[in-house]
Amino acid sequence: MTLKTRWEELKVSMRPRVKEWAFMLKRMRQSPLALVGLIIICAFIVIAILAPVLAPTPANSRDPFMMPKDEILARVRPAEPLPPTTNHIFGTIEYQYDLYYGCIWGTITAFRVGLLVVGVSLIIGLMVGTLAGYYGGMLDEVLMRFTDIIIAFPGLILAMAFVIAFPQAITLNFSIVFLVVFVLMSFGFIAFSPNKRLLLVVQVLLGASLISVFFYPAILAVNLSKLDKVMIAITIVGWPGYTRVIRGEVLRVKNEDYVEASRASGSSDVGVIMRHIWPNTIYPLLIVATLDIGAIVLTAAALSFIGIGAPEGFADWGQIIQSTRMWLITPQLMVQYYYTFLIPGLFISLFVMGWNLLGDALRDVLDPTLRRR
Amino acid sequence: MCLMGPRMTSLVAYILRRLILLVFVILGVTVLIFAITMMFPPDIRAYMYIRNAEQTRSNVIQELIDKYGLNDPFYLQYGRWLSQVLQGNLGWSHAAGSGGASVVDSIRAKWPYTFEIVMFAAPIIIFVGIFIGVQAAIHRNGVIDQVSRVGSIIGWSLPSFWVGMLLLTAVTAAFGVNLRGPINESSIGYMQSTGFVRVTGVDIFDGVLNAIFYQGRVHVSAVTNATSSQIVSWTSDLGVSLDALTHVVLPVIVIVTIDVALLIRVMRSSMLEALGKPYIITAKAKGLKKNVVIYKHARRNALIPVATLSGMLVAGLLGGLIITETVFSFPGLGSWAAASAVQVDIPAVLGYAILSAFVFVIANLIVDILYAYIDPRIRLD
Amino acid sequence: MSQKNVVEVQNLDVKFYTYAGVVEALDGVNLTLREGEILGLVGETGCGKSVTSLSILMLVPPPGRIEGGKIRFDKQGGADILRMNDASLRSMRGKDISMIFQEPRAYLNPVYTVEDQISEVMLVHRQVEFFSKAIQALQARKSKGLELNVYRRLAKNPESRIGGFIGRFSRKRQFKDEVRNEVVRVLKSVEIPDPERVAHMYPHELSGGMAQRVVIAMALACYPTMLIADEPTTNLDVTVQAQILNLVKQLRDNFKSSILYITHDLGVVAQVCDRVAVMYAGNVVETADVFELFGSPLHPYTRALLESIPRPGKAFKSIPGIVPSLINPLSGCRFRDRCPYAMEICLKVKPPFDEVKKGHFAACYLYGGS
Repeated sequence: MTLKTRWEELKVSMRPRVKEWAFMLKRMRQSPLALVGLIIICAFIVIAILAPVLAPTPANSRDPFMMPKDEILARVRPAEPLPPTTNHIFGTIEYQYDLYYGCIWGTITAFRVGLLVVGVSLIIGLMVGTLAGYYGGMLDEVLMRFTDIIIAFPGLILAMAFVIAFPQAITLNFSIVFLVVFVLMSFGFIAFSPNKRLLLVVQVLLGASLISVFFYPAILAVNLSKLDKVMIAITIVGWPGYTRVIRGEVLRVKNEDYVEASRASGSSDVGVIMRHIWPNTIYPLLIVATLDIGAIVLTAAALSFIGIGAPEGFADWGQIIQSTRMWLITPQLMVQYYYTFLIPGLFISLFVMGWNLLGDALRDVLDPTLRRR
Repeated sequence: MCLMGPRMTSLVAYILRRLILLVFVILGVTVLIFAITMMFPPDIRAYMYIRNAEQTRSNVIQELIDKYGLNDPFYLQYGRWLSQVLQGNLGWSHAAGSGGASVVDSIRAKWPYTFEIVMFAAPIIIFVGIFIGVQAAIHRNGVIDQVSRVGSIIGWSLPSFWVGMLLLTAVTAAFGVNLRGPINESSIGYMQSTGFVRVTGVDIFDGVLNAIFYQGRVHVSAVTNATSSQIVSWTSDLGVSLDALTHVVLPVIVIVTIDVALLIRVMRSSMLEALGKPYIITAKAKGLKKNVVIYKHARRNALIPVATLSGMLVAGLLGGLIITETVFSFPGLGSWAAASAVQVDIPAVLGYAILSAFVFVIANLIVDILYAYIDPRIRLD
Repeated sequence: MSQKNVVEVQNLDVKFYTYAGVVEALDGVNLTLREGEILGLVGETGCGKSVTSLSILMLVPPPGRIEGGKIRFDKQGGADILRMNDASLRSMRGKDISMIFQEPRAYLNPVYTVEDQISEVMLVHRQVEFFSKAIQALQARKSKGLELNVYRRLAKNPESRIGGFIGRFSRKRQFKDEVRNEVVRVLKSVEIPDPERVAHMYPHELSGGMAQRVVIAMALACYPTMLIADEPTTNLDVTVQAQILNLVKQLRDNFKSSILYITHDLGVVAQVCDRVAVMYAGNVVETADVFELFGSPLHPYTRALLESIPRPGKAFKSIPGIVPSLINPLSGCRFRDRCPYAMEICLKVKPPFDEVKKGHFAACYLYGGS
């Protein structure tokens, strides 16, 4: 089969799905809440992209994510947060970091944390859940017990435990393990792609990188920043949620007629999964993922608030609020320094609200009783 | 609905089966958390075996490392630690305040403050959530539905610490009152004065109990300013209770706002689904009144998934309380956990994690029992 | 069979306002059910049989709306059901007209026992009767006391609040016994074996046939004048189906019930019905005595239906074309695009539902009526 006919085939088979998406988009446009959510998220995307323009990094700064200190003011008042002025639109927080800068660049941090964590959790949860649901039996039992244990108590506590437990630097041993796992998974994916030529190319590339790592171990001596630890911890705590959802869906779809028909006509297990099961089961996952982005940003902010998240001076909304906690001991002080927590908190709330509105609208739109087939 | 006969025995058998399963889950959780602690060096881990303050001196720690073989393989250490836990020693928490205390003592001292918040928050979340959810479903797309939907999304999006700070600020700005902490200093002084009996440890209860049972001892008492000996405020037994109550209001509001949103949404969609079921048509065709159809037939079926969620939410309160107690300076289990995380106090984090797992497991058990009671299809599982 | 009509459906119009458009589900349906007969309502899926039956009880779910017509109910002095108030409708449902449905276990509430659900309908309509029986039984035993007084009060005024309040806390054992006995009796009358045990079972513990009997028992609990059966045997095994059909026939013979039997299975119609009404795309197209219909069908659709019944040795014959869309339907007769005899007038004006022969109605221009 030539590449061109494959492409034609794909277009034809995708047509009803494209129609369905178009219908979904139309329904989304009709919902005012969804529009508000979309607008909010787009606004944040704009802020994130234009961050270097909106809040330019000072020339002497090494890391754009570290908030700039106002040295001049620091000489006068080394620690006390100062109210908004023309120089500092939102004011400053403790040690005279610029609040405006922190909020703008914090947007990028929020997107990074949310999307990365959700992405990785989704993939892991998808794999585990599909395996458990599709093959059932002992594999299902073992995987689900493991999942249940992780879900067994509030994620915040387990995430806390992981964050403080992780070593700062991942040694070579850890890296090798991660890399091997990643390579195996990608092999698995690629092996079932219909295009053998692509498979060969990717295999060669991966093999080359694996060999080069053995010869140059320095590549993988990664230093985990505190924020990375938070992200890994939340990922570990978060993937079981997706597992349960996808497993339920796979169980529901597994016994449908079209799956049996596909098996009867000789498709491999993986083929059935990728062509029939996944397209019909991922929609609830998308809803969970969208809603999860907000929850993850909130969790990360909470961890930062306690003090085990991003380091001091880092442009992260939760960290900004945390750094000024010492100045907010009594409510009277809170009134005086309102800007230090009001503004970053507003950013967090709006960001999460945008994703929640979107996820909620998605959930209504994907309601199976109203979906047009 | 009588509980006699075959239905009861099947229910009891079901409960026993779930109990055994849950014991295994708790064990699994302890293994997981213990595994996490293994990432720490032995001298920090030694704190998990300390019983009292004397043992915190450095030479004692080396002895402990040897005694408990903290460099031995994982399963040996786990076994030793588990047997120690079952004897009642959970280690020493140095973040527990005033030089530290044993984990068990810390829990005993701090749980009343957490309980004060939970005992109000949990019922409010459940009952308000169910009520509004049902109403939203019955009057679909009506005012309650739209408002609760938007309110739910907003409530769920707000960071709990931010809401707490906002409320404190607002109350201070509006009324000039400082509602931080579990109780005012004047009440603390009152409670430490002779005659006030600590019955439960929970301020709200103790005040009332003292008022009822320990009448003769202390009546109205004047709290004087330390320097000028002037009377600062009057307080009494009931005054103590009232004071504690007012301080609990804001944390409860914060917790409820965040969690009730989810319950409303789930109750609403579950109720809508139940109302669309065929047996509702049968019920109407029997000539039943609309309220009977809604509340007796639909709602009971709709409560099934909600029961599970309620259990999880209540168990999850322990997690949310970490933040809320910190913001409101409540000296409860939550703020202890937060402080332990920052100060890398392993036994405390470990103890708190095990406690949460325990609570979660008990909550699950209660939910399972409720579930089996409401839905007879489950008992034959 | 008497000539009295239990229910007369006249010109019933029902529309469904959906996302896709306005579905004209029923367009002038005419139906009469005579006392003591089993009237079959036949048609393919989607032709409006269920909607018609639900309309009789005013149970059409939104987005459906009854837009026109009359449904005269003889028991209420010929009153129009479509214009009854809520209270009258509720007193009619379950007591004068009962309905049973297709998948019995789905139509029973899964969290209540059989006894709970059957006694529920009895308590709505026959409560006073049970109080009287309880009072008689207590008087026969010469007992006095609270229980007797509660019953007396509630018998006189069933809606009494005080009575209900006290009644909830007194043990009411005699009353509960009366109700329980009646439930068992009703279960026995539909030939359920071991009725005491079945009464305590939950719907998911019943087999399909058993569940359908329970549903029938529940429908008969208050001795209704009319029973609507919406495809009650479609999901059951053939052997069980035969038993249920026998039961239905007994209902007509022993209790003189009038039954509206909805089905798409012509075999069932032949076995059980006295008269038949054929529906197509929201209209009743032909009504006749069952032998008359099978012997000399008038409407082209009926003819095509009967011809398409598979017989050994005969080639398969199906009706060409598909059922027309009921959203913005075309003018004239709805069968026009599939009818081999379609004429010009069929495309323009809908044929009236006329009595072509005695007792035999058809809506077709082949038999006049322009």
